[in-house]
Amino acid sequence: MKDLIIELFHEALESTNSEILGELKEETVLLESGLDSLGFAILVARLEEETGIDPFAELEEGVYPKTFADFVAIYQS
Amino acid sequence: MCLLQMIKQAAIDNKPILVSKESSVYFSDILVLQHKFCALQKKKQVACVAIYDLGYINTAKLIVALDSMVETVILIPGDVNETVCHKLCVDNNIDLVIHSGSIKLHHLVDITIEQLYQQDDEEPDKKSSIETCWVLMTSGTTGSPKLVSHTMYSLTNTVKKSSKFPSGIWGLFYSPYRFAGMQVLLQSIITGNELVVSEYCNSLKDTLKLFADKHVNFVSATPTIWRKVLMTEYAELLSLDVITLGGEIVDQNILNALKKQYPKARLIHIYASTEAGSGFSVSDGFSGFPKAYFNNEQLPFNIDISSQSTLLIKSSSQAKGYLGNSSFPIDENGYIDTGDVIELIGDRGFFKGRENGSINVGGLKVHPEEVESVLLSHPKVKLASVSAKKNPITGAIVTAQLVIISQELSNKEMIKEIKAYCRERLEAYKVPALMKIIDDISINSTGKTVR
Repeated sequence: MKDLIIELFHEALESTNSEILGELKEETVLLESGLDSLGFAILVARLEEETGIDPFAELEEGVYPKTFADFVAIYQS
Repeated sequence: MCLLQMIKQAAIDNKPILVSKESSVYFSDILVLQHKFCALQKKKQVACVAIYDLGYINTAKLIVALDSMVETVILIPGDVNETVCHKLCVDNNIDLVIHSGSIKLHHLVDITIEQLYQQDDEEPDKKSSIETCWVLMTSGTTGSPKLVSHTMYSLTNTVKKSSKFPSGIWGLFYSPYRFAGMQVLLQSIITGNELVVSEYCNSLKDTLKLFADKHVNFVSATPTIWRKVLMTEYAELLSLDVITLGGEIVDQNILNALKKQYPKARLIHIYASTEAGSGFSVSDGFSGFPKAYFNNEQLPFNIDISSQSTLLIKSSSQAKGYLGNSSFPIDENGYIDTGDVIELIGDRGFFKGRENGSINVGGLKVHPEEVESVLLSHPKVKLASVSAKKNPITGAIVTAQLVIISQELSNKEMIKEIKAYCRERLEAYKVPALMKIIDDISINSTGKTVR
């Protein structure tokens, strides 16, 4: 799952003509990674397309991930 | 009563009216600006003014200073290019364009904000106060801007009623050139509250730090901005009493997440449009709006549903009409057709998107026709149908279904190529994030593709 997220993360960067700022690490703050909110929207949509899962729609309580590790955890839970 | 008179309590309290990272604006600063403008008016006839692409602070100061001084003020945001701005000014007999100085407008009388400040001082003639027509822009269905005409009464009549609001310091993310930004500006200054704006802030982090430093406790933003705020650690810096959301459809997730992050804050989502005015608000913590809003004489607005399932609304804050020849979507009973499709489920109404199919990507409007025409210009694309898909981050994203002329590439490679083709021709938010190649696309009875 994590590998797919990383692959699609890079695809979303390309889709928004953005470049990654530094290395993508567990503690990287998502909105400081170089990907903007449109990039995240694309990432979440592409992940749903590939896996059929939209964890944001399934979460009862609205949660918005802050770091890359938070983001991956939402998909792994 | 002119806007400057409405806010004169601020002069007595000697509190700043507007605050940015770089400066604070007091009542006396706006009075100075009004006197400069008056001196200019003595020299030449100025009845219709356009304010073009100035920052938050200068625009807000001019809005207050110019009310009741001229017949018409058109607010033209910077995303309107110079050619369109020029045409708008010529078509609407603008006498004076006030701008930042970074543009050249041939054959128009213009002045930069600095030149305005170099004028002499002149007291306005109090007897000659006139009702200014305030014109805001909206992007129409075909992408051409529409000019929506309001009065200070239509813009402020709901503001005055809500003076029971607790006092506080407002934080503004919206531009004052758009209806939502104008509403927050007027709401805060008329109720005697300070307004902190994000001008000169380079990032969301910077803005949130400024809001925290200035003890902002009321913040107004779109759902997309709120989601971004919650995705930063700086969300914790804010201590909020009132949160308002508007400009996009509000989902339950964002309301729940805000309630969790700011448990003591009052959550209000607002339905407004440039044409329909400030519409209505919902503060029960749930998305959608109560069905009890229909046929309710206790409320200051009337709402109904059209045969196309769009929301119809009538209130004293609605616009007077469009400038120019465009026909205003108002029926014989005074109801404005908002073009927003609603669905009634149980005891609530929910917004389902735009009737004309336009897609709101994080507050930016996308017309499917524009995207379809780019897709169809690709030599391998035979048919294209563009629609919205719900998204937890930006509210919606653009998706496309395509019928392809026989080709050697795999579907995956073909999609990659078409996405790259679109990226060269469209802004990133207009490029379909998801594309699907299918065998055929249905055509409806009018010969259009079914979205």
